[in-house]
Amino acid sequence: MIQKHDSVIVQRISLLLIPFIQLFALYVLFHGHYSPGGGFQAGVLIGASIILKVLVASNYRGMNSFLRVELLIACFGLGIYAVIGTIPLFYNAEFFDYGAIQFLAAHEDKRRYWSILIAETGVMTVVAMTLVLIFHILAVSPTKDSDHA
Amino acid sequence: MIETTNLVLIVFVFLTAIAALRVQELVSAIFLLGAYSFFIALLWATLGALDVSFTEAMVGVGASTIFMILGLFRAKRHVAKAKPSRVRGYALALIILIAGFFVWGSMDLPAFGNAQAAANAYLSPYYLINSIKDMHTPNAVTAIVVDYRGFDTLIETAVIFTAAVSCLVIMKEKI
Repeated sequence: MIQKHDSVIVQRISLLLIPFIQLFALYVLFHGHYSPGGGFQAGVLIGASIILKVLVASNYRGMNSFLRVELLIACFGLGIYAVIGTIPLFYNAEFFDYGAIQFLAAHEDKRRYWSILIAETGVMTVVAMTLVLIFHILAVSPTKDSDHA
Repeated sequence: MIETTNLVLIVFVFLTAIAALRVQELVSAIFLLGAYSFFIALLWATLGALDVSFTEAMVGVGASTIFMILGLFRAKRHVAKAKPSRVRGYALALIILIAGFFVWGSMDLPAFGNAQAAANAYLSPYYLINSIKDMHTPNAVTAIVVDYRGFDTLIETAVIFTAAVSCLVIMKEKI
């Protein structure tokens, strides 16, 4: 029982803001090596932009299929992080020793650099999808949902 | 200058916290909590903990406010004229006593930014010096969180994922 916002102005302005929020989220993710920020913050920003979209400009009733997709994407994000931590084991290094991942880059510091970025992407996916998932669960109450169906 | 800013921010933190407790309407209390998180985030920014401040501004002001309002809409509300609660003498005395213990305990802590303190003398210099050499990452927080302490962050991410799964289990029978 999320409905579109009544005012066209609110709808349009929010839809206009969403790409900029997501662009800023990507900036926070990719610039996390140099400035404050990283996977967690970028994930919250991405999740907030999706929540804004759903709140302002969508008519949702049954969202069970969305829940399944969001849970799967969150699993995928956790998998990215776990896999990038496991790969060094195959190069006879320790768990999470990114410097051993030979196919990423030539030098050890660059390997760690890119591994950090990949791991942060996984964190971002998990956080964003968790936010949207909890929002969907809270926003769609089961009793009203069955009334509509 | 920084000291004055800190004092003003601390006063605002206290004001919003007390107002969130005393206000009658729950929606107002939620927004006051959001303002409280915002002032805490500013306080952390003045202390130089920009990553923590960023996270607080994102999660404390944004996400938790949204979730609490949604939870409020789902809950059944019983409107009752609550009597304005009196300040009880013994409770106030107990709080002042406990706060006094905290202040007394904090006397032994090293001063803020003390380079000789145990936390700043042993591991922090290693991270600050080596993060650029090891992983080409000037922001030492990112280097610590994802590389030096990568295992911790994996478990933290799993905790967040567990939050999503437990919400699903509690609120929905099947997906």
